[in-house]
Amino acid sequence: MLLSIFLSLSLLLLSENAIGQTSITGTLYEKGTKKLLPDTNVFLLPLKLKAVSNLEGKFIFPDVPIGEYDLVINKSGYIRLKEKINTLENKTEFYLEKEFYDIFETVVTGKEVKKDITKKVLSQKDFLKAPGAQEDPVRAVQNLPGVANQSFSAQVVIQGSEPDDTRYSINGHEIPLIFHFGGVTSVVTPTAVKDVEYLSAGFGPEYGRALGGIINLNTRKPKEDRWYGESFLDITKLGFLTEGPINEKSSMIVSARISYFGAIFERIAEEEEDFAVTAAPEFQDYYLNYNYKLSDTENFNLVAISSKDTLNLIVKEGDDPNLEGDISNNTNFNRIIPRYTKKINSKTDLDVSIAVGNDNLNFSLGDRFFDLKATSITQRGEISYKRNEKETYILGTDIQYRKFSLDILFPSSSSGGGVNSSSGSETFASLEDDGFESGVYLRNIYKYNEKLTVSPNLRIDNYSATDETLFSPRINSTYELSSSLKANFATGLYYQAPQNGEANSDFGNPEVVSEKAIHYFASLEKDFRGGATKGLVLEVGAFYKDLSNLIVNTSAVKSDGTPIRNTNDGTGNVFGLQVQGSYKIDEITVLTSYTYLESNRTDPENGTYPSQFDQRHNLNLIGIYERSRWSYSARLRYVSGGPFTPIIGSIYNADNDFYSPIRGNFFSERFEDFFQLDLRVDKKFIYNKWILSAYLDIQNLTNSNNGQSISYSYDFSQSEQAAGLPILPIIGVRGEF
Amino acid sequence: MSIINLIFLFLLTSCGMGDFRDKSKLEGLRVLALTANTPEINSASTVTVTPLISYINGSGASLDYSWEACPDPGVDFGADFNCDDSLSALKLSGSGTFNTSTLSASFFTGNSTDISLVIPAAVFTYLGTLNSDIQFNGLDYILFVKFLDSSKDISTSAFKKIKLSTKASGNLNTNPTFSGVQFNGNALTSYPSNKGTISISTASNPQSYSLVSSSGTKVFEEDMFFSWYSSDGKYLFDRTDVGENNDFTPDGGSGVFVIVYRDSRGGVATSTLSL
Repeated sequence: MLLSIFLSLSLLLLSENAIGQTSITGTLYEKGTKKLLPDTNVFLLPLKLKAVSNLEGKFIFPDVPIGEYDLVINKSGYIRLKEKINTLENKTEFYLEKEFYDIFETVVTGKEVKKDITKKVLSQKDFLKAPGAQEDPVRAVQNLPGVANQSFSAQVVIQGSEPDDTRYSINGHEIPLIFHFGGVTSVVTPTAVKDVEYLSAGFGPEYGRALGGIINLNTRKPKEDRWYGESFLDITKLGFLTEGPINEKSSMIVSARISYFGAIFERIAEEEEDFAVTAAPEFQDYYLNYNYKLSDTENFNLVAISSKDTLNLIVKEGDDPNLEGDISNNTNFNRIIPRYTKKINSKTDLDVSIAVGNDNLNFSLGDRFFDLKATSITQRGEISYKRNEKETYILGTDIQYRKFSLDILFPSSSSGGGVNSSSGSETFASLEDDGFESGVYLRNIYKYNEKLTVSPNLRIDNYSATDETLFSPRINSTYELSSSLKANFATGLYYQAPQNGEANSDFGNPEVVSEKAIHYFASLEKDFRGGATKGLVLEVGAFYKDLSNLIVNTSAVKSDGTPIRNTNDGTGNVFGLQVQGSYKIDEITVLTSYTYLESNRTDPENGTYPSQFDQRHNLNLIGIYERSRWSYSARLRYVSGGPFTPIIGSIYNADNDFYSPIRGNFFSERFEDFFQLDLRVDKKFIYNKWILSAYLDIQNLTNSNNGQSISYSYDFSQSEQAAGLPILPIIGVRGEF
Repeated sequence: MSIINLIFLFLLTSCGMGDFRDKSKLEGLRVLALTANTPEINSASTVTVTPLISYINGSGASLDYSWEACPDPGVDFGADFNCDDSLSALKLSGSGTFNTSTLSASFFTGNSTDISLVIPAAVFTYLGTLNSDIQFNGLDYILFVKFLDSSKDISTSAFKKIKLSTKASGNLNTNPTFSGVQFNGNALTSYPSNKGTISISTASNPQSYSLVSSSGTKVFEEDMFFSWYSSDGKYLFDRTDVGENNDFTPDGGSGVFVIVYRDSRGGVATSTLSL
């Protein structure tokens, strides 16, 4: 009997135990991004049980008594999670919040084989948070040394060169413009860009056709783990980006942006007597990136980009009578860039790409017009061979073919000294032409010893427009004076073919040849951090550019009365010193760049004068303070006033009813100095399945005048320095999911 | 690219430009038009140029004027606006005095002394040595004229191009014509008392003309426009196209109205109404 009672009680207890136990399962995600978190320790307290998440982020605690527990996760880089769970609630998703979030973290696609000592690279994280840059990669380049301050400009002026001396490219393929209207934003969705490269004096052989430098946007590969999306909105535009895997081998990014500030502009224009808008200024751009892994060593990537800017308005009365009437401007271009990369063996890599596209630029002013249509094909190929630890050889091609048609009826004018002057005579042309600009280059990287690396390079270009074959030897070297101190030196020869019709028989001179420059660059890089991540890094450099064969205007005519228009009689030089530093301590980062430069030009008819971009002192000081989900940053810019040509009189054009200015000495006066303080505050709101980012970017906080242009009355007898950008708060939001 | 910048810069800087003098407002010494009796010629002949000037606050001052004329020195390519470097055989010059008191009192706006340009045969000989495109399209023979009020050291300069070409006489450019300045649909015969619409009832149509270049021959149409001036009141536009009305807001009981009609290639017609 006793035995029977004991057995019964035992069975009863056993059955109660069986009923009171369960298992706890769950999946670990990164909060906001929904990224799965594998290989993560999960603890259940006070049971002191431990589980580890698998590749799918799943974990399991089997045979846990029913009840309430603390689930604790301590993972490096994430905020500690401690959450009460009840076995009866059946919660299965757990989100770990990262300590630091980058906006769409950059996917690093490969290591940099070559080393261009003049190259500055801004990563996505750098440019998205740069104050005053409005999350734009190219605007952020203005914070780097040697880049001129340019208000309302769609161009980047590098180290005292001319705007047309800068080339813009995407993945190495030249594009006709990098910015939408007036530098509002660049033509690619910023979060689709991996980084922006800025190459200045002494740049390597990979690029040619530029006397000043290069701005290149490198796109990033699509993410492959899951589908992501983001949408964004600021005061000028809105758009979206989505990306993710299509299957195991392929993935893609799709993005589109459209401006809406035209509607605001239209509203303003309704109250303006000076002009009426018939079609709002607007821009739009579209972007596609498709990636296909052919094998472990081969990859195919396709980038497609399309950009369009439109503006139509009627100018009733302006300060320049040449700019009165119906104005329309339509600019669009597109490119398709397929790219094939292959790791041939452990020593050899191949990278080949082609870009095919169209450029259309149409501008009309009353009955005058400029209509350019072009088809562009560019090719890049590069094979690198690492012979041993000391020697690497890179052979590349850089070819452009351009076929275009141009219809033009416009007043002839000269823009000497930056002052446009015309007699009202018209230039007209209707032509079709094409041109090849083919380049081949060889870069050698020779590590002479542990301290000295020398890279003797050669680039050979052939320009069909001028029938020239040009040899451009370039060299750069690095010498490690100590583990924290490096000395760099670069020099080279650079050529730039005539552009914008300078060699055209209808509005240029077919006898002009390519412009030429010799660059010299030297710098010292000192890392004071002593192997730590905090501390000071400083680079001090100097550059000199000797310019010759510059194409300049001439008023001379040939014996048959044909105007010569321009010659290669211009020369010039640019000398500069530059400093770039970064200092990081805890949550504070301080970045600075300073450039001093002197840029001069000489032409036979006007003597020697400062270049339009002779901005002597250019200081950028940036401070960033990041704490929790907040980021505060400020940028201070001080730039010496740029030179301008004074107008000392005018003469009335009685045939066309406008006054032509009479120039004083070229660039003999200067604008007031430029001073601007920008502030930016970023805040991230992290939700389980999405992230909301908001920023406030206040430009020109002190509301400084900063005019870098002059407005004149109809007869140039009155003038005033036009105000620059006033205090401008810009708000933007971005949702990522 | 630079054109886009130009537009954007222009739009931004054109806002709030209200402090400058109004182009259509007549006050100081101005040349408003230079009218050649023949804006284009194909053989050596005399061209009479009539300056239309205005010097309302000059109180009838006497003006010294000087002029010179020569083949275009290349002003579109950076040359100075003068004939200093021109061959003497191709150059003309002269000077004189014009008393503005001979014009309608209080407005001192009207035609100055004619300038006679006796275009020398040497210029056409020179034309014959030039590129055939230039011969057909025309060599710009430019008249530079300067008016000076020496008592106040005030001066103004203007220039006009006479086309010298090899076109057939029937294809040479001629001056446009217009008539019938109206205010609110009626002939403008007295100074308006209220704001209204000012217009032209009749104006010659644009002419077609040809230009040749390495791209071939292309036919264009003249870009005609009116320029509006007044001593008092304010126009809505200082320039209008053919068929386009203008608004005028008076601010006094009298004034002078000047309207100049141009074909953008040297042809000019003017009308001056002192009311």
